[in-house]
Amino acid sequence: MTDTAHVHVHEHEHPDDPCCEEVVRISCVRHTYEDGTSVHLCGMDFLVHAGKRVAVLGPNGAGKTTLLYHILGLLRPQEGEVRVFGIEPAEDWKDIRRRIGVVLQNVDEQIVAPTVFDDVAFSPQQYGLPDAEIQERTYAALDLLGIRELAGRVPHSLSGGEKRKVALAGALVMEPELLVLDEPFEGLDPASRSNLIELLGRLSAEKGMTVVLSTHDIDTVPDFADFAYVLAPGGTIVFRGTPAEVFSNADVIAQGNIKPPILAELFAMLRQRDESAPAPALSVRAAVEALEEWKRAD
Amino acid sequence: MDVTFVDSAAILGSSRLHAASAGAKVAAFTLVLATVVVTNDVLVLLSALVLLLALAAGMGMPLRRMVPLALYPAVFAAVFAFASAPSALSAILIVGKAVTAALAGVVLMFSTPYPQVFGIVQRFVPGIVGDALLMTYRSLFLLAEKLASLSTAIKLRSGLSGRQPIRAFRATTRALGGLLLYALDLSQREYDVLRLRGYERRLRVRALPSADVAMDRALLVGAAGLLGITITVRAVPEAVGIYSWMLAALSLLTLAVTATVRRRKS
Repeated sequence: MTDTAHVHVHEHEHPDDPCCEEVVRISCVRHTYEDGTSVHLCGMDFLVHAGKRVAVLGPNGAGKTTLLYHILGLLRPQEGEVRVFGIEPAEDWKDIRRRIGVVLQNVDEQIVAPTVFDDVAFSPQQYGLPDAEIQERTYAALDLLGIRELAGRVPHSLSGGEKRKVALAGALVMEPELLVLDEPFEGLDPASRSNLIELLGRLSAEKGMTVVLSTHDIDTVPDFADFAYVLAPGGTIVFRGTPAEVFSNADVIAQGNIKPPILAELFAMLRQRDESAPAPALSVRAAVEALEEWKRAD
Repeated sequence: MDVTFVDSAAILGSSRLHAASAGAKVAAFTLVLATVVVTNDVLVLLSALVLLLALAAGMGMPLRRMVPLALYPAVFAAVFAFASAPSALSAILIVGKAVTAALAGVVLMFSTPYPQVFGIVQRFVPGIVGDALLMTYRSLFLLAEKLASLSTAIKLRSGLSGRQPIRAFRATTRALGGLLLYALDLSQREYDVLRLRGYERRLRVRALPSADVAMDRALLVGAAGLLGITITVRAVPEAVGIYSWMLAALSLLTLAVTATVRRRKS
């Protein structure tokens, strides 16, 4: 786990804070797939406000991707309501698409052009931007991800991690207000993962970008997310709160079939053995400070 | 066919042919195709074939990978020629036309990225057809990868056995059925991705400018000259046709010189 220590900041915030514009609202949406599998994203509304970084957690098949696909208008709600920037995305996607960047789980299927440069330039090209602006935006996105040297490469010769960075550059090239990422840390080495977390934090802080991501990589959540939503099998949204709130709640962990971060597990074990043990700290630095203080008090 | 190799050769190649504009190459290809259609003279056809080989050899293109691809249609053309050609010369003409047209296509695909070629084709065909051609680009690679992993899986799970051909046949057909379903599913997902990334009604392709205008002109003049000679030979065979051997000899000489120069350079 990286030690970027966002956690202590997040503890003072809450998803219900009416701090800013409501970007995403999903209310009791149901989707039944052709094979009969039904996902009912209910229990509580899924709300995301502008500038927030939100993680969606839950076991396989809980409906994380279904939720993201509703935000992207790829699925039309059979029941319930979806609003993104106040618009129903399945109906009026073209009204909001320039404001949304996407990286899907299978990045291979997301890369469509013969070279990395062409792929990153794909969206500005489709929006008919002038050539000079396309070039400027594309190199800026490549630089942001640190992959300018890949510009002339053929996508199918890239590694999985490089392809993910290319897909992310393609999503960021239009400087979206909302970034939707499905399992973005999959296939990334630890250093790239830390860089991505740092980048998303920077984009959120400097440009006010809202980020919604689904992940199984629990260790990244405290470093990345302001808030997390936990889905139980079948799609029920069982909890929303800060990462600290999520990982200190045994019921939620059980319902969401989540393996808590290793530090949360460590503190939970310490608490089982000694009630005076400190409350869970989710970053290495915070953990060291908490343990030192506990040692001194002892 | 190794589509990844073809694609890499087209994108990463650095010859003058690669530097020419896609528009000039597609126009030259069309003129060569017209030559193949118009001619009924074996020597003129042979000249076109040899000139294409000389062009590819001169540009340092991977002929060992290109020629087998150009020979594929010869198999089917030979069956047709055997069934319907009135004479041996007509049969040679049928097979030769198939191979020359295929070689022209192979030279184009090895020197021009697929989206650049179909970006031009898109202007002359209905929108949905043009977009479908462009959308197949990445699907080709994804399907090739899927096919390779399916074949490995079947082998690892003992589905392919020379001793049990029926079982091997069943396993292969099931895998191909699975691949077909995957392809259908993939096409929907690819469409979704394009829509998410800004596609609406018409795919826009960035036309790369020519990096070698002299080569553009040479290609066009060469292909137009070949078509001009072909039309003349066809129109007045008695007066000009008897000299078509000179064209064939000249093209063979060009090939020999090009190959020698290339070998010395490398």
